Amino acid sequence: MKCLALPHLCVLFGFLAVNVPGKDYPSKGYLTFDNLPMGSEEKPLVLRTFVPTIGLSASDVLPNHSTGAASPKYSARSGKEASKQTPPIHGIPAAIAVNMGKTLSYVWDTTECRLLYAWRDGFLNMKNYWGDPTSGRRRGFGYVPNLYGFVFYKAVGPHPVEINGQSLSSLGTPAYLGFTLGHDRIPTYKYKAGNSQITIKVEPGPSTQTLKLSFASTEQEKLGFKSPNTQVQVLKSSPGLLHLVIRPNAGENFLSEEKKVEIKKPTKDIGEGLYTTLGCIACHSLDGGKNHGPTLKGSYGAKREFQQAEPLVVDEDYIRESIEKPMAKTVKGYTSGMMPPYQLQKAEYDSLILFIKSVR
Amino acid sequence: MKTLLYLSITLTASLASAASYTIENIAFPKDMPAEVGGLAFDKQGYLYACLRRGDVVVTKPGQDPESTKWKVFATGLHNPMGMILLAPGHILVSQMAELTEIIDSDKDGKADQYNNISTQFGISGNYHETNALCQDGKGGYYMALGTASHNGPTFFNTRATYSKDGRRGRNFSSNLLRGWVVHVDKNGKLTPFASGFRMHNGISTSPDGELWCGDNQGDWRGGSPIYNVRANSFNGHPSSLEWDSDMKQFGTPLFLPRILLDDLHNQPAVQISRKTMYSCGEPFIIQSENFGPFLGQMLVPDENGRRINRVMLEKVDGAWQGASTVFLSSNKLRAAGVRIAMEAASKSLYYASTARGWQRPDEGIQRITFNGKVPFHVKACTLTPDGFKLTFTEALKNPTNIGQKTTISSYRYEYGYRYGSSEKDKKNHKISKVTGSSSFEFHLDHLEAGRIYEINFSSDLLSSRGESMNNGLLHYTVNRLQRPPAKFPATLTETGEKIEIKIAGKSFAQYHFSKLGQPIIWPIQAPGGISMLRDYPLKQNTPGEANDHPHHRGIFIGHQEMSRADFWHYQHKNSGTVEHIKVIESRSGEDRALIKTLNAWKNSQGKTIGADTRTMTFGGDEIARFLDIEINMHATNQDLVFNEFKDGFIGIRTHPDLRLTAKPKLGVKKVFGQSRNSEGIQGKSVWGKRADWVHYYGTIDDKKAGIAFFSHPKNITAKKEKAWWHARDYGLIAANPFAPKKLGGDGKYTVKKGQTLTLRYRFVFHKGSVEDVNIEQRYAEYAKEPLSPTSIMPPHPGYPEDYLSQKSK
Repeated sequence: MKCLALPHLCVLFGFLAVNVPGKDYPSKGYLTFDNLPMGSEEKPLVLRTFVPTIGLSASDVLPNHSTGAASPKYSARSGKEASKQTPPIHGIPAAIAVNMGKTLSYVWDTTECRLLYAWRDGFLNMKNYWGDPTSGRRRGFGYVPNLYGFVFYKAVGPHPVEINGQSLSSLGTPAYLGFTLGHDRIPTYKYKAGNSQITIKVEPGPSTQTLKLSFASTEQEKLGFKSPNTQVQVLKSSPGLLHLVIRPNAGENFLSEEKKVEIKKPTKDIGEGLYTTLGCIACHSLDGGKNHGPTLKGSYGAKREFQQAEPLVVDEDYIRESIEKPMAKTVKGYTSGMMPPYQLQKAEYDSLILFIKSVR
Repeated sequence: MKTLLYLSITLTASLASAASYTIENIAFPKDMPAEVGGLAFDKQGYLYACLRRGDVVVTKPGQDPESTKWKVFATGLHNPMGMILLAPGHILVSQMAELTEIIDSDKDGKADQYNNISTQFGISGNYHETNALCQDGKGGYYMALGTASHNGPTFFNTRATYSKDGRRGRNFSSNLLRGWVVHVDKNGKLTPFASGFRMHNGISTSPDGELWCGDNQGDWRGGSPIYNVRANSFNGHPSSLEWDSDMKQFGTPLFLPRILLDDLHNQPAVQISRKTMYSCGEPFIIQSENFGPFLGQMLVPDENGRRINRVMLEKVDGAWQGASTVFLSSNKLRAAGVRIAMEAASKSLYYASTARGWQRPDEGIQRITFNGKVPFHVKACTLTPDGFKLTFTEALKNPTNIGQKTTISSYRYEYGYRYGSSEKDKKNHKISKVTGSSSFEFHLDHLEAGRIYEINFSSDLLSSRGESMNNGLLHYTVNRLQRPPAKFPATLTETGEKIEIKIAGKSFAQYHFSKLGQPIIWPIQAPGGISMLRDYPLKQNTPGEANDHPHHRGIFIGHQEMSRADFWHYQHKNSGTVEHIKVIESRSGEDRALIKTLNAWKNSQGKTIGADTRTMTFGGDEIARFLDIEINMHATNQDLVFNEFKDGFIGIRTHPDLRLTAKPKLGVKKVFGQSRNSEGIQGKSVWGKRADWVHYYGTIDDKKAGIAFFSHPKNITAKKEKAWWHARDYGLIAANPFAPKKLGGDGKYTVKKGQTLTLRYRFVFHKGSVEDVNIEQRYAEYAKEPLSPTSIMPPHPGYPEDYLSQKSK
């Protein structure tokens, strides 16, 4: 194998002893609780979901998206906004992710109607989105699955397709029409640009870290492909048809799991943050309002009566137990089993306790 | 052992409806997450379920639920929450980013085409923006586009227009049309249909063509509401108004005046009580007689509990409302029911649930089958003029003591930014009597619109078979009362630019809303066809009319200076306009007709200053017609400053015959009018005086007639005195709460931004003499009439630009 674009990739590749987990889909034919689903070349896995942006240039690659912005933090308790802002996060909302086994994963976007990136030796870790298989609990504030594996292609510049020498990016917003699955179960995407209807199929290329793209158009136009910093080998070109191979133009390794941030010192503010991100907010009010669970307002030090346990005064032990094993005691007047158990760091429990103490 | 036995008996008794319905689990492969978002039967009896992770699976349910085998029909969908079966192998799915048509074109049992039908709506990247789907019965579809939650973020790169204003609040609508119900025709053309939803997780059409949505508990949701979704209606949650081109001019939706939001709100047909429901799944209408005695009623699963509610609907005064009760509550039911499907003429329904991600995992499909044993419960509940009429599924053991076995109370839910509401303003009601022996009419001491009535049957109310009713709790949402029998029915006919109001078939008034720069009511006829208003300038050359004051057009509302614009005159350089935005609702055919409109107050540069919602009620009797105007002036964009001027606020220009003085120079040679007010002052001297009412009377076209103009005693006046009248001898009568102090008026008045000023007036147009009409008594009755019901609302939180700048100081 020759390294054409980025010689250092070859070096990197040598170090990647990849043990790709999660191969349930080809054997089962359906998605399971496994948060690391994978397809195969014979049974490609198509998964529409939020996907990471992995540093794509929004102005070049995502011009048909609108631009989100930071928003004032909102207090659901007072109905007021604070001067603090909630920033947006990175993610692409309407793309299609496809895995064809170890050799190829890619993301094709329905808003831009183009291939965004491709990688090998992995796919998406869905835990952020699908939650923990046993507790069902979601993992964090955002829901964007983590990409893992080795990214070897990233879209650069405006839309690469040219129709009769005219860049597709000058034809206005392309309109996604859908995709079909052939006998090989590989998707062929269809979109409209100007008056043309274009189809594109993405497959593994002839060698590692290459992609084969097959474009076709019903109108018999001359199709072209132009992308900065990307080496392209045309396999076949005729009116209304263009087959080509793309060489790698990137090299970035992503791990399956993000590193967990260790909290050293518990604080009330961390507790308040956890109250939101863990989803406590959905059932425990801060203002005395009744919901699925008791309000946190004035709860610390208050007397609690239970359905099947002796009454007690709310203390740190009780709070910890309620978070870790919510089924242990159910407060009178509430439904048992509504709350999932939470396995947290010690400092996270302590932070929540500090926060709950502060809600008077 | 003894305790165990006792426990099992009480358990059986507490699940009376469960004794009539069998619950079975439909098997799934152990590793398949059966988190169902859509559930439907095709015409060949195949059951399709779409699952959150992206698969659509199919089975033909057999006798034994344990041996159910599923086949995968389609894959790769993003959190699909709505599904329609168009034909075998041909389905439509609403997934996160798209309405998608899925086809198995080669008939191998696996879909091979995924066509985009519509992506003409926004998606922010927030997890909460799921979409539900139903058919419109005419080849098109309705899609329910949920809002985003502040418990999750939005992306840097979103689809379709992003709005910072829509992004504000607890649940929000940062991207195009989130929080709306949209219509998609068979060619994929998307049209906005109704706004104001938070998370209408589930949408259905009933066989009569009505459209229904539940909504999840949350902000702007006091209980668990069921909405009858009308075209162009606003259904309570403000964020979605960001995408309403009519409403954008009034500023950030989240900070609109509370009373404006309440006025626009298409009240939920039913507020399912928080005692029996947390969050509504998809409404399902029972269309099988074999599923028990509840044909035509609605079932709503609780997305946050192990129970299904039953809703009984009826139309009262032109709108749907009704009662809800628990249909089935059982620990055998899976938590978090979202969808129900039933095969035609079936004894069984299929109940699907999904809780993963926000609750302990509990997902799957269950079959609920009627075993033929009729459960003892309320079969129907309807509103009567002074209470409720109830029928039961079984005869009662002792029908005579039902009054003692029943308690009735009522409460209201708050409407506002808070998450859910406790029960407010609780009242216990005295049942004055119960009549009937097979259906029972409960007569109450007091019945009021805007309240939820809780009817609680004691567990020792027994059926003839000795059964007790469990979950004997029923809630009826009284939005509207039954109207009294109509001797003089009032009807409305709307054409493009006006609405005509008829009483007992005779024309009474016309409401012109589109072309005159402000809404005008003209002409008006009293009983006997007597013409009550000057025609000029709306109609020229009526004999005997003067052409002075061309801005005195029929009945009109304005003020010489509100926030520096002149809304009294239309012909001046700084004249503003009052632009009709929409008819919020109209009612017709009862003892009165009602028109409620939204209007924008704009200055001479066309800048929107404020808004009004006005409710006009029309009715009549043998000798008089009445028109009530209740106007809410909303300070939407800035403070509304009514400066002290004599020309304001609501005026009427009478027929020239009712003038007190003639003016031959202007063509008014003979007059026949006299005037008096509630304080006994007569003639020209009523001008500039304070009074409850002013009455102009005499003869019009040789017939005895008159106009009385009432100001409601609750109307604000800065001096806390009676209304100040700008009532002229030439036939202008105006009530003005902002008249100059030096003329004895109340002076300048300011409505603070975010607040609302309510004013109420009545006009009485009568035939006959002063003695015939008895204005004094009519006023006394009017003074007692309550305002249209408004919700209990938490106060306006203030505007961030104001409180944040104060904080920084």
